[in-house]
Parts: sequence; structure tokens; C-alpha cells
Amino acid sequence: MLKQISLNENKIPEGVRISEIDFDNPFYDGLHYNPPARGVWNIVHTGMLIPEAHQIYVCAQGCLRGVILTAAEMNRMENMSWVALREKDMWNGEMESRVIEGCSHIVDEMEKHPKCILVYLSCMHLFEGCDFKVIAAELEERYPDIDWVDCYMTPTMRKTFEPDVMMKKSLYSPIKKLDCDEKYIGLIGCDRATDKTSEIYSLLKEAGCKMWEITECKTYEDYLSLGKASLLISYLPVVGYASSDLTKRLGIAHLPMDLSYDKDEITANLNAFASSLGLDEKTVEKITDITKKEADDSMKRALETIGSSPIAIDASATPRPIGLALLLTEYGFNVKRVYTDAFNKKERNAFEKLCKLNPDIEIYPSMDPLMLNADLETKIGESEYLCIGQKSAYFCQTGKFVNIIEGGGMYGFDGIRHLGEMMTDAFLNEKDLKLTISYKGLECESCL
Amino acid sequence: MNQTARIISIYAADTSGVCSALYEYGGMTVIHDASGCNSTYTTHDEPRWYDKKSMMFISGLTEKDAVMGNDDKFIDDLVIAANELKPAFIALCASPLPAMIGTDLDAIAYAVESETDIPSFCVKTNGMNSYIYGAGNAFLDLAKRFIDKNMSHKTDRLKVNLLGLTPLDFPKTEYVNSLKSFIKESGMELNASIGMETSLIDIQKIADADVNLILSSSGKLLADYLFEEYNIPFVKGVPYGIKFSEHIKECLYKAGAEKINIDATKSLREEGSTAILGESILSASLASAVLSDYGIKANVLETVGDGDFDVLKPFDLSCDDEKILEGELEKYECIIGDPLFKPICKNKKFIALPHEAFSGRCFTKNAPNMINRKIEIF
Repeated sequence: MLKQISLNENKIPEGVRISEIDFDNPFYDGLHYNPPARGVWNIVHTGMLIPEAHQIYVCAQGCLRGVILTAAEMNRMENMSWVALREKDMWNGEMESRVIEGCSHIVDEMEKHPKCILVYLSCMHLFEGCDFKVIAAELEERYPDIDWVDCYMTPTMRKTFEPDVMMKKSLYSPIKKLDCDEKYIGLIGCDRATDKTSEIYSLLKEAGCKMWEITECKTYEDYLSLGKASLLISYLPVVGYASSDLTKRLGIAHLPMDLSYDKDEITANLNAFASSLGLDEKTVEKITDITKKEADDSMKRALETIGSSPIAIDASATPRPIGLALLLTEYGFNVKRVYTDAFNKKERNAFEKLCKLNPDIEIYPSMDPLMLNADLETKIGESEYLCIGQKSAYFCQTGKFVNIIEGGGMYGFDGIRHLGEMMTDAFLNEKDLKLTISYKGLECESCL
Repeated sequence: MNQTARIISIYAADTSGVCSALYEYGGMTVIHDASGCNSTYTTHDEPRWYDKKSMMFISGLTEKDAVMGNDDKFIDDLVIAANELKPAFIALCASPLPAMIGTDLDAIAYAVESETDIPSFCVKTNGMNSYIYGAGNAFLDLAKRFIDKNMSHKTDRLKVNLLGLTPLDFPKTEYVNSLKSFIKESGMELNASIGMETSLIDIQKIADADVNLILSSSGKLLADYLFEEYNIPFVKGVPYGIKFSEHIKECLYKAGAEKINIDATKSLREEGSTAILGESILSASLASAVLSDYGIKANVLETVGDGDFDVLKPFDLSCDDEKILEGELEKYECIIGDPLFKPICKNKKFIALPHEAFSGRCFTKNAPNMINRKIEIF
């Protein structure tokens, strides 16, 4: 049953015990509140990962404002252009020509053509039944030296095609099939770098293979070299549509190895990856014997430092907040809260285990309007919480937080080791909460 | 080609203008939008978001509800939130998609008010107009709903309302404090500060003023209304610099005494080789101030494409097209404008003057306070 959170007598929202919440429909989805934690990436940040590419947004002024200023804060306005839709464009039947002529004008104004242009269309185009194929065909004919990529800023469709999922698909759509290099593996779906200390890289080294990661591409040619990969791997959940498109177009197999905090799942993922590389399970064992112990030691050291201080986790920090809560609870940490608006379906087992192990953990939404007052519960400097993620840090008003999004590039047992170290550091070295979470797009350049 | 920009930014939209105008009045403002408007507003257009609470939300419109015209969901959600949060009023505005499918927000506001007994209204937006349009209408709609003409008090001093204050044009509280000091030092009484450092009481007593000072185009609609309905005259201009501030003071007394509207910038403008880019009243005021204090002749290039064009002179220009603007700027030796205009001001002397409505929070820390003091941007 859907839960509607309520305010206590001090107007502070109250969470729901995990044992009393419906896994499939935890919270009522009403009006949306937006907490001031800006680290999560948006489609502009992701699009900027393609080297030597340019972005053009075609939408209403209100929608343009957010994406243009994202680029401005990244000091990347030279890679950003826009075409504004006005009221008349909705009725005059010229939606397609507005895109084509607007993009053409922008390209003609450039001193040098970019190698790739991402054109972002909006909800208005979708609801008008705009013919994307006509647009793409015309632009390709006018500017054959440019790879044109159709992208979508269509949040109205978020229940069927999430913007992040669509963006990931667009991110790889210029990739074309090249001669296969058996020793070349593509890691897709990650906006930020993965730890080089993770078992993924250790196995890669054992197999004599090289990794393609978009964060390491300096040129457009580097980026296109994904087309020669013999295998695609991914560990973040939003990549499914992109991987199926790449597999279909390029014929490259995809191995999903989801980010997890469950030791058996991690081992199974690493074994599957090793097998794809032609390695046996003994190789995995040799590597993980060391990383498992390091993870264990790191978590135990963190527990010694953090003790019984309450811990909160939010879903912006990791796609598996429940799995992480379970891991920490099993290590003896005092996990008190998880902030998530919905549960990842792959977390059902972890959820059920956690319900038994720690039924009093409170689940909070992050977007419910009542969360407007969540930060009033305590003052900054007085909070006892250690948080994992920016949103939980804001709601709990603590400078003691692990500043990561989407798993923080940490994977496997090595990821658990790294997370333990980050928790210890976060507990000992408080951050300036307001300043730290104000930067848009964690790890991006910022003019602020 | 109009509506297109290769490299410059874009001004805040009407939805942000509405939220910015209504921020401090204890209401619940909801943009009927799928996602994005709230994040854009609270990140880039609202410097108060972290430190000052306000009930600013979006509806979370979905494809299914849009296609099926499921307004009941929106009404239910508004009622649920309002019953918990108990706002002083509920204001609704539309992003492009509700505008496109013809959602009747007036009817929704009526239904919500009937259900909750909380004053509810819709401010006309579609996400395709400027912040001036949104803020201007929001101030006007709020005043129409809450003005109490019986609230009055007697004083020997001239009672002044400050109109058109939003962080989009005045991003720092420091500016409001300087304006308040200016009123006080001029021997006047601040009747109401509308938009910033304010509360609903300011709106209620707004008709008790002798004169309105319009500080930006966002205050013009309300000023016109107060003149027509309550015979309160207005003065247009921001008290920048030393001499122009003194001039505004004189204009306020004159307007109050003679019940006439005055454009304080009108007599203090001369055509020159310096261009000031930005919102019309702010830019014209700066042009008057630099002429008065330094003898610098400056033209205004109004770049929002909206607002009060009456302050513009024949030698000024309104232009929101990047290509045309770039061509116009070639005629000038010196350009004063937001840093995000700099890429189209090549080989010109460029003086950065950050404008929140254009560059958001990017350069707020560098925005100078020029109100009632020496201008030090040169």
C-alpha cells in the first residue's frame, strides 16, 4: 500500500519503518520537491563526455534555461547552442523546419564544424508528432561531415523512457562497427571513471586486455574506437537500452555485471566477466582473496572509528541503497535511514533480509513536498549522522558525508574497501555542506 | 535567425519569474510541469533556496496524465500538500506542455480553493515568455487578491513602495538593504518592499503608499494597477551612483506631491559609444547614473526582449537575437554587460556586470552593489 508521510508536531516529516513499507509502491507520487543537492549529473553533463562534440537544445525558454546554465557553470558554453520554441511554433506546423533551420544557422556561424552534434528535442516535439527522421535526414544531407545524434529532453515520458536511459542510448549512437580487437573491452554506462584498483581492471590485466572508458577519451576518434570492442560490460542500471542498441547494431556481446554490495553477487559477476575474458574462477579467487580481506579490514576500521553514530544513505549515492544498508548493518553499523522514492527491483532480496535484520530502519522519500522541512530537524554542526550521498547529508544537516553519486566509481570488493575508507574520512573530516552540495555535476569543472 | 543562439545564454523564463516574485509570501507555488522546472528554478534562479524556506513545487506531470487530461490527479495532489503544509495561498503556473494541451489552471485553482478554503489563483505562463512577464503578472495577481485598502496610517513622511524586487534582478539581500537605507536617508518611509525581504502584510498594505518606486520591469504592471485603482503615482529608476540617486529622491517627492508618474531616467540620457546590455529599467538607470557621475554617454541595448520599453530612447535598441546583437555591438567602443555576453563582444572593452536573470549564480559573487553609492565598475 502506498504510504503518505506525515509531519510530526514540530512540522518535521516522519519516515516509514522498512518493515511496514510496500516494496513495489513505497510512497505516493504527488507534488515534487527539489532538495538543494546538485551533484547528480544531468543530460548536459553526460553529453559533454563525447570529445569534440557540440550540443544544441531545441525547446522552450524555461527548459533551455536549466541546460544552458549547466553548460555555463561547467565553463563549456563554446559547446552549447540553443533554439527557443515560441508559442507560434506550436501551431504553425513548422516544428521540423524550426529545428533544421535553427541547427543550420548555428553550424553556419561556427568557424569550424564539430565532428558530432547532439540535437536535443523536447516534450513539445513529441506531443506534436514531430518527424525526427525528416530532421535527421535533412541535417545529414546538409552537413555530411557531422555525425548528427538525436537526443531527448522529454521528462514527461519519464515513466516509460527515463531521460537518463534515453541519454545513455544517444551517447553511444554515433559508434560504428570497426574491425574487432579481441583484447579490447568497452565499459559503458558510467559517466565517471571507475576505480583502477577494482577487480574489473585486475582481471583485465590478467587477460592482457585493454579497457575503453568514455571518461578517458581525449579525441572523437578515441570515442569511436568503442566500435572495435569484443565485449561490452556495464554495472549501472540505466544502460540497458543503450547496450541492447549497441549489441543489435554492432553485434558486440554485452555482459551486465550490476553494482552490488552482496558478496555472492559480486563473486558471480566477476566469475562471469573472467569467463568472458577466457580466465578461470581460480584467477578470480586469487584476486578476490586479497580484495575481500582488504574490504573486510576497511569496513572494520571504519566501524571502529564511526562506532554507533547513526548512518543514512540516499539513492543518489548508489543504485543499491538497500543492499548497502544491509552490508553496513551486517558489519554492525547503526544504519538508521534510507532516502529513496522507489526501490530498485533488483533489491528485493536485500530488502527482505534487511526487514528481518533491522526492521526499524526508516525509509524516507526525497521528493515529497513535506521533505521541505526535513532539514529543520537538526542544525548543522549538531547532527550526529554520517551520511552516504548528498541528499541524505542535506536532510540530516551533516558535514560528515561521503560525497558520491551513482556508486562513486567503486566496484566489487575493492569498491567496498574504498567505500569503507571514504566513510572513515567523511567521519573524521567534515565538509562544508552548503558549499559542497551546491556544485552542479559532481567532479565537473565549475565556475562557482 | 531569431530564437537561436550559437554561444550566449538565455534569460530566466516566466515560470521562474512567478516563483521568484511569490517566494516570500507564505504561499505554495506549483509549476504544472513534468520535471526540470523546479530544479532549474531552485538551482539557477533562486539564491534564497538553501537558506530561506518556501513552498515551491512542481506537479510531476506524466505522459499518461497529459494524454488522458487527468486534472483530478493534480487537484488531489494540491489538496493533499496544502492540507499538510497550510500555505497562505496557492498559486499555479504552467510549463510548456500544459500550455500546449490547454490545461485550464484557472479551473483547477477554483477547484482547489473550493476544497481547501485557501485562496488559490493561476498566474498565466507557458514557459516561453521571460521572467519579467511571469514576475510582473505574479505581483499583480497577488496584490489583486490580497490588497487591503483599509490598511492605512498617517505619517509626515512620504510613504514609498519598492516595486519589482526579485533576486533575478537584485540577487543579494545587500541590495535591498541599500534601497531601504536610501529611502530612510531620503527622509521617506518604506511602506512596503515588494518581492524581497517582505511578507504578505506588505502586499496587504501596499495601497497605503504615496508613491511607488519601480526598480525593474517586473514591477511595472503592479505600478500601473496601483496608479489606476488607487491613484498612487510611480517613479521609474534604480538609485545607482551618487547624483542619479539624488535625482530619484527629488522625483519621488515631486511624484508624490503632484500625483504624476515620472521616468527618472528620461532627462539624463545622451547617445554615446558605450553600450549597456540588459533589462531596460536597470540599464537605463545605469546609463543615467554614469552620465551624471562620470559624463559617460551610454546607449541601452535591451536584451531580454520584454519589459518596459518606454524608458528606451531613439538611440537605444531592443534586441534578443544573438546575431543582430553581435552586429550592433560592433558599433560601440565599450560594452557593459553580463559576462555571458562577452563571446559576442570580441575586440571590445568589456566591463562585466553580472545579471542573475541571464547567468544565474555563475558570477553572483562578483556582482557589485551600485545602489546609492559611487559606481566602481570602471
